[in-house]
Amino acid sequence: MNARLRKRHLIFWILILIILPIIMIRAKINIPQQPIENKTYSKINEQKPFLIKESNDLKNGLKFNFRGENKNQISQLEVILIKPLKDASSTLFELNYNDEKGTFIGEMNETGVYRFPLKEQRLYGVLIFDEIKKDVVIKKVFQWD
Amino acid sequence: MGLNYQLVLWNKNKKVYDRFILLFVLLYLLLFWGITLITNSNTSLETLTIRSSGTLAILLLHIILSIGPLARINKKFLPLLYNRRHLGVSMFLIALIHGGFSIFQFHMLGDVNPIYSVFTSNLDYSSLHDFPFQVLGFLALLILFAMAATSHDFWLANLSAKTWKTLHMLVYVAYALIVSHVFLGAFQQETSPYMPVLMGIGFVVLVILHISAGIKEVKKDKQTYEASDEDWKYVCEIDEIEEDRAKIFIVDHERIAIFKYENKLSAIHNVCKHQGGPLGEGKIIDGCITCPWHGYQYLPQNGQSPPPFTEKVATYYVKIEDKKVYVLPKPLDEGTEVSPAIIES
Repeated sequence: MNARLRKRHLIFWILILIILPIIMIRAKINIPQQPIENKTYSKINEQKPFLIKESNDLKNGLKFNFRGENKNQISQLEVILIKPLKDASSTLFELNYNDEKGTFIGEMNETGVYRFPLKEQRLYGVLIFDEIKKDVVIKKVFQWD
Repeated sequence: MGLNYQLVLWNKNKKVYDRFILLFVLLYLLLFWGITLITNSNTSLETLTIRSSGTLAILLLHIILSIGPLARINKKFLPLLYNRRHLGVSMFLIALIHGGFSIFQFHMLGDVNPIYSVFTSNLDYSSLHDFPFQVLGFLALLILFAMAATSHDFWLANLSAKTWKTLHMLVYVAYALIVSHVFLGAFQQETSPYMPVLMGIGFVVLVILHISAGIKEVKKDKQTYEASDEDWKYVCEIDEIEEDRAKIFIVDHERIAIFKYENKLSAIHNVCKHQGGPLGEGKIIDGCITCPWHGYQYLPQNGQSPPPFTEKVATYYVKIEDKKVYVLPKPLDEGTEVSPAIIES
């Protein structure tokens, strides 16, 4: 390498050293945090309160169980993912009464049982949303008596 | 060096090296697929392909970017540098699989051209969380394509060394785009801290290697002298130069390599005409100074590549007085014949 090329390498690495850490750190700290009351924390995740209502969507390999316990004021949505979702990024949101994406509930990856704490014992519906494609994967409205 | 055009410049060493690359790639893919299928047997084939090829391409890019500074720091890594080009092309092919499958998976089912969809499906450039990260990956892939397509001495000769080197230094831009692509894309959904931490470690390692190699070069550059028509500059004692090796001397921030061979001394410009390799870190093989990067050769007494090759570098006058080596640091025209200084025993 001659002096010109060495200088060019140096400029590239100084720029990389300045720019990339900013992007890396800002990208990580700007991820929207879940509202604290909606976090799937381990304590409630281990709890399995009484079943209030079940609603199945077997075509998409999903079972929704609403669980709750008045004594301890626990409301929980149990989602059983029987078969994997096709989308790489699947996040669960409340469906509000305008049929639009509401509050973030949690993330789902592989098949299994997911338990999410809820503010109320009833939900109008849920949306499974692909954050990468910005696309609704599954919309589910619950029928309540 | 080769006279005839060949699609892939293979020799015995490169074939062995390429087998190692293939083995490593297969082993990585097998491990990735095996571990993923054991821990999450329902993962789809498309997702497995996208993730395994993406992570492998990033790993290979880190290895590729490490080879240059490693070879500057320790000569034991020079064989990796000699074979780096094939690793680069392999990395591009794996990145192409990642990009191709991603476009197929995420953009193929719409009613617009999938490439057009990459650039228009998300225009939220003001958001970090929803940033159109796929565009960054696509641009990086274009750079890697341009590099892989021109990774041949045919293009080096036709584009000129300056243009070729400028094009290939875009690898740093590609690296920055890829890191941003991953952090603004996949890591926005990643709940585990391990992958971002691993990527961060890779970045730190690369920065440390490049800066360490840079510091080593700066130290060499500091031993610099002004070029002059008359002043002979002291270089070193004769015994400080190993047989068939060189001592590098710096004038006006350019380097001169003074070679010792067959009881003679000759000096040439240190930069190889092929890809700017450091000739003074090579050795004399079959009577020719041989570049440690890609094996280009020059005759020590005139800086010319042996016929039929036409590359040539500048030469310098050298003299010996009381076992001390002196050089006249004004470069002569490239390929100028200079009588070697004779070492008297």
